Amino acid sequence: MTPQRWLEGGGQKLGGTRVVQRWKGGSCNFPFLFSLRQPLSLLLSSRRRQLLPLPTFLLAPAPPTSSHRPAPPRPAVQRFPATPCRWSASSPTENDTSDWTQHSEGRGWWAMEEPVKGTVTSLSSIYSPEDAQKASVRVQEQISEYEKQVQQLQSFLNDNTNLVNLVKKLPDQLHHDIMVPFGKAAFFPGKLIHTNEFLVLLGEGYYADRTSKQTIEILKRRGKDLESQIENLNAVIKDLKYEASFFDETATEAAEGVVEIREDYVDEVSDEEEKDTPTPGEDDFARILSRIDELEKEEMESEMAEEAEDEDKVDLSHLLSHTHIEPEVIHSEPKESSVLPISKNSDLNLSSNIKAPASSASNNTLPRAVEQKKLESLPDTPVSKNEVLSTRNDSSKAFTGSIVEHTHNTEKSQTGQPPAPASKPVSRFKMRKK
Amino acid sequence: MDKDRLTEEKIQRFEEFVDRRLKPDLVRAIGERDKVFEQQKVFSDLRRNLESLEKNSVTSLRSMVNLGSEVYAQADVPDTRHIFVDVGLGFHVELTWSEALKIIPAREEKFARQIEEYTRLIAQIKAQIKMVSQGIRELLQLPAE
Repeated sequence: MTPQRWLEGGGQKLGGTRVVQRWKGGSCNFPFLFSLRQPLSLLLSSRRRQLLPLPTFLLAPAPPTSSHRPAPPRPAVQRFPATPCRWSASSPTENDTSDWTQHSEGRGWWAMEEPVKGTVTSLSSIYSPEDAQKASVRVQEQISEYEKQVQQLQSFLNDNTNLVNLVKKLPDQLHHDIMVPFGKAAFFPGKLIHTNEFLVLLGEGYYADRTSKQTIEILKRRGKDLESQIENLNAVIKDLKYEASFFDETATEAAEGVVEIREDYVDEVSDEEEKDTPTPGEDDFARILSRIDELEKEEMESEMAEEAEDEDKVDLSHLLSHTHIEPEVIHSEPKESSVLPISKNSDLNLSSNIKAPASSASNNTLPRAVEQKKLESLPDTPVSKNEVLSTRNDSSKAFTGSIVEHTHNTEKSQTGQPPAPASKPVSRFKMRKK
Repeated sequence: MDKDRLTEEKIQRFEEFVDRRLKPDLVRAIGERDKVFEQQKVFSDLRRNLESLEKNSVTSLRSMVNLGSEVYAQADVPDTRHIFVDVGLGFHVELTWSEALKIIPAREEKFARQIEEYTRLIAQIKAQIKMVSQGIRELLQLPAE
């Protein structure tokens, strides 16, 4: 591979959201790349500080695997983390406590100064060179097979064109002197007659009498068919050749110990945009979310109401035994019956709590009812205000949306307005906004 | 231990001999014999056709000539008394019917001899394969079939 090809291969491969980089060469090239980024003196000083052995490329000449291949130029756009990675040919010393990880092929040890963004895997650990070689050989076999087919088709095509020429020429004369075959091993001297009449096989044992021109048309159609077949086969061969070259490349790369560095591609530009200006789509999204929250809450409440209904039935059955109300009435409107006990409990804010769960309502209506009585008795005292505020805070901490709604109502009652009939509970999202 | 390795090597050699020498030879011999069979059939057909021509005393003939790709053209043979017969090595000899009917049985006989030869060769190769496989079986100390 030429350096130019290497650049193409080692640069940004933006297949989807991933950036794949490949470092060519032996084990020493890997840290060498980072020494390009970091001055050598800095590397040495950091190494001294860490009490680490020097990498092999500083101590010994480069291994023969990389000698024939010059150290690859750094890709023009390099996205590997700017944090340099330390590397050591031998195992880390004991006093060094940073997390060393052994290179996948055991050639050396290296560790990142910071949490790594990408992963480094040697290519030979994914594809063994032998397997890649085998695959390449198999593809080559396939190619030769297809090439044979193409040759056969090509010979058919040649025969066809010859035949077209022959059929074109034959009607020029009334008769031609030929040797008429008699079986395969003998022939008679004779001549072709009726030179503008041909019997052409159409297929499936059907023959048609055709003139020279008509025969030529048929033969040309056959020729076109053959040509398209050859084209198809050539395309297949081309694909297979690319495949084979890829396998060959992989085999050689795996043998040379190429490492593959994968790093998730983060689109920085789009991030900034999102931060700066929330798109109109985001607004819609928020609305949808709030709607979903609402629906979820309603569902939850209805479930809890059903549970409450069961409890109520038990309660009501006690009542029924006293009052002798027919149970059919209750069964005919189960939804309303579930709500009924709540409204009984809290007469003060009947309209606002129709959908509130019975359990929470039973817990909270009592203290709040007392509160509101207080308010009515002492409408403008600061003490009651404080109390109200404190209860609101507590309730918002301890319970979910429905409770907060109660406090909302008390606020309203505090300001002197009559409790407005709230048909729909305020969504959790909106409350959070406030 | 050493003996085991030796026998293993020997078995491998035998198997290679069977797979790389005897079996391809056998395939080739069968192919050759099939070719000769075909030739024999061609000549026997020719003989039969000539005999029928003689019996019906046909002097002129109309036939269809294959121009290739299953395109036929009509051909006319004005005189059927002389026929060119393939005598081998690409030579065709102009013969009369009686001459042809003398030569063709000789050709047929030759083909029959060739077929016999090939059949013997095939049998020989098959026997060799059997023998080598028997030898392998003995080396492996397996019971005979």
